[in-house]
Amino acid sequence: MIEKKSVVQPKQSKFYLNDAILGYLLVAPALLCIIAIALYPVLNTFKLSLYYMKLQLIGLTHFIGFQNYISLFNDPRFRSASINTVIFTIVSVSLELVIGMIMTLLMNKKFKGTGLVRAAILIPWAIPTIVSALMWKFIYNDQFGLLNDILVRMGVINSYKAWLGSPSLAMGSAIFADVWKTAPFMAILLLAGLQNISYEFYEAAKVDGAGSIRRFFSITLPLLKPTILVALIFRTLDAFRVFDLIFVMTGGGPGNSTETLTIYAYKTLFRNLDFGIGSAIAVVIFIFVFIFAVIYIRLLDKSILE
Amino acid sequence: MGKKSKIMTSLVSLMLVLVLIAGCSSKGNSTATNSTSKNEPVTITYSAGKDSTPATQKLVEAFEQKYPNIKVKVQELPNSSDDQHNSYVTALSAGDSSIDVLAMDIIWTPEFAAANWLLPLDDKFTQEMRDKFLSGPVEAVTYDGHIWAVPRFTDAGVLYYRKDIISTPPKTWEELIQMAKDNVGKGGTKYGIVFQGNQYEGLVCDALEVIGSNGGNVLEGDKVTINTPQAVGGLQYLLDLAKIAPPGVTTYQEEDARNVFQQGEAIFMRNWPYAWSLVNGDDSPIKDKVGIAPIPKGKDGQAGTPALGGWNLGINKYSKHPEEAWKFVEFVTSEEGQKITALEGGNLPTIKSLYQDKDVLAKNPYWSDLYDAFITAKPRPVTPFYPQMSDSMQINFHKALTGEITPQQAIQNIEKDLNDIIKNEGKK
Repeated sequence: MIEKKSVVQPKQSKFYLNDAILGYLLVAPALLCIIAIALYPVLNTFKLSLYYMKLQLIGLTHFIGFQNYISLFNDPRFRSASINTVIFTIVSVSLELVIGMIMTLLMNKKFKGTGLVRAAILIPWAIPTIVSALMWKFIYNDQFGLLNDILVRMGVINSYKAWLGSPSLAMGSAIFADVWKTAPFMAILLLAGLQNISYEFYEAAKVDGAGSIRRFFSITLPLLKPTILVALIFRTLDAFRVFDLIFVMTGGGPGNSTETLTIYAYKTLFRNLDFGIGSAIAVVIFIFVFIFAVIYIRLLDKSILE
Repeated sequence: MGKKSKIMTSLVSLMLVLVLIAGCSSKGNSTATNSTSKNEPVTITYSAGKDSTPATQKLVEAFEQKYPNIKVKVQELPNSSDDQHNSYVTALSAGDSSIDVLAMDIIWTPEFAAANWLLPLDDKFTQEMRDKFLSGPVEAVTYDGHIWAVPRFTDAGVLYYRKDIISTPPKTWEELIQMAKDNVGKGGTKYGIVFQGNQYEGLVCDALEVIGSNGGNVLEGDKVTINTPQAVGGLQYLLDLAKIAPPGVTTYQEEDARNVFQQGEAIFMRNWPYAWSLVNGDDSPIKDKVGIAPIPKGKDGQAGTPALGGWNLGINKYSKHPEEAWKFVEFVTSEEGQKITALEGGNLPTIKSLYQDKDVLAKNPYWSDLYDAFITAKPRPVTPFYPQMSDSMQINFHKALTGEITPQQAIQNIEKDLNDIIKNEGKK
């Protein structure tokens, strides 16, 4: 047997190319592209973050080591931007998960008009963020905003409120708009996972007398765990880097209460032309996002192995 | 068959990659051959924010008629001045030569000059020419002892009032607040005043106006002089104004304020002169019911000090046609050019004599009354680090306006930030 196998193996020649090298060669074009458009900018940003570099004083550019990072950690504005980002991420992603799950369970039900319900649920996700941000800005308007009108008619509030104009309301309003837009995305991902769960589990559970709540927590949730984790990776990373929504709705105001790390990085880089500090903020965002991704992927590996 | 075709495939894919790389790198050289023979018309590119009036079109037509050998291509940028700033930063920091003449907001000139993106114009925009211009705008294009741009038009904050409700406009902020309280409700009004209270550049203009009109000041040379009782008192006026304004005034920019005023809901409005033709437009519910007056003064101040706005024309340092570019700048900012801008665009000229021009005054009768106020308009700090300073002012003024901190704290925070910024400027 063994001898027979060795006969099949090709003879060594100088043109011989083993599969590994061929593999590398074939992915080389893609790899080069990734290096050019992803790795190079990341490394260059990291390099810039170690320099004193302001475009207005371009002649004074020089290496300063980790000085930019040290001044960032002593900067109260950086601290409050980090806190805002974390609050935005945690609150919006948890709400999206819960609401997305409810939407999924609804969409998964078979009844007349399922297609219509699915389409209706998906519409917010189909609207570009810039457009939905502007739309919500109008909805929150203090003079002719829809939200004020509805709430006053319902008797919830007495007078029109400036939803984006007071520090106590603005962050909540921005989170609400984000949840409205991205809960459907969560729902699509979860729906795909849900439809992979075999119906037999539910039937067996029914025979054993498990109620619908028990079935959800003992079958749906555990089997959906990998999908939930993938959905959470996407949404956490996105929410952590939120920019367009907040930029359009509040620009970071009122009183900087909605300024996130990306907005702060943008203002430092493009408005203040401070490329050193701006790059340092960008690197910090990158590191945070990287840590999140690693944690999630670890959890995901574990849950698949189970 | 296996190995030979494998080798071939890999070689072909490698070639493809190399072709791609080569294709990218050779792109730069092909456009460099640019013949500037005298007879052929030269095309220059003028980059500016979108102009919704016919002024830019008319200017280009008049210029091309006068200089048949120069063609002007207008490159329109987005309306928002922040977006324009960012597209200039991207293009100019990369040494892009595709823009020859650029329109700049008054606050960018020192910044762009310090970044080495502009051609100095000392010998072109001569002292003799400068003397014909208003002093505020000329001060704003002077940085580091050189001239970097030519003022194209100017802007200054003004007070709009409902003349069907108020007979004589207020001279002081106290009078204004009292008048608003006494008259609110008349003529369908719901609020005393609207102004620009969003966290953005416009808030800095409004706040520096009340501070200046109460005798406060931000910088004197390199010294931060903002921490005075006058400045704190001035900022307090802004908080008092917010109390007679709609609740959402903390989100208002120019157009939000104009919309509320134009719907007849407010007695007063702080805004720029552009709003005049709009609130008096045929579709405006308050057409012919509006008066315009200088910014009031505070109890500790000498006079109302309107914030100076306006736009300048500069020449890209990397322009391939600096001479032709200058011809265009010279024409647009000449009396002839500024008259077109004033008549077609409704923008305030930077040349003094145009404020006596019959045609200009026929179209904008209130300009002669406001001339005295305009010439006192104060530029915001002229420094390449203005964006950083503005950032600190935007945040702290807005925190004070939304009640998070007191005006005293806001002024102290700004003083500290500005001192840090100035200290870091000299850091080697």
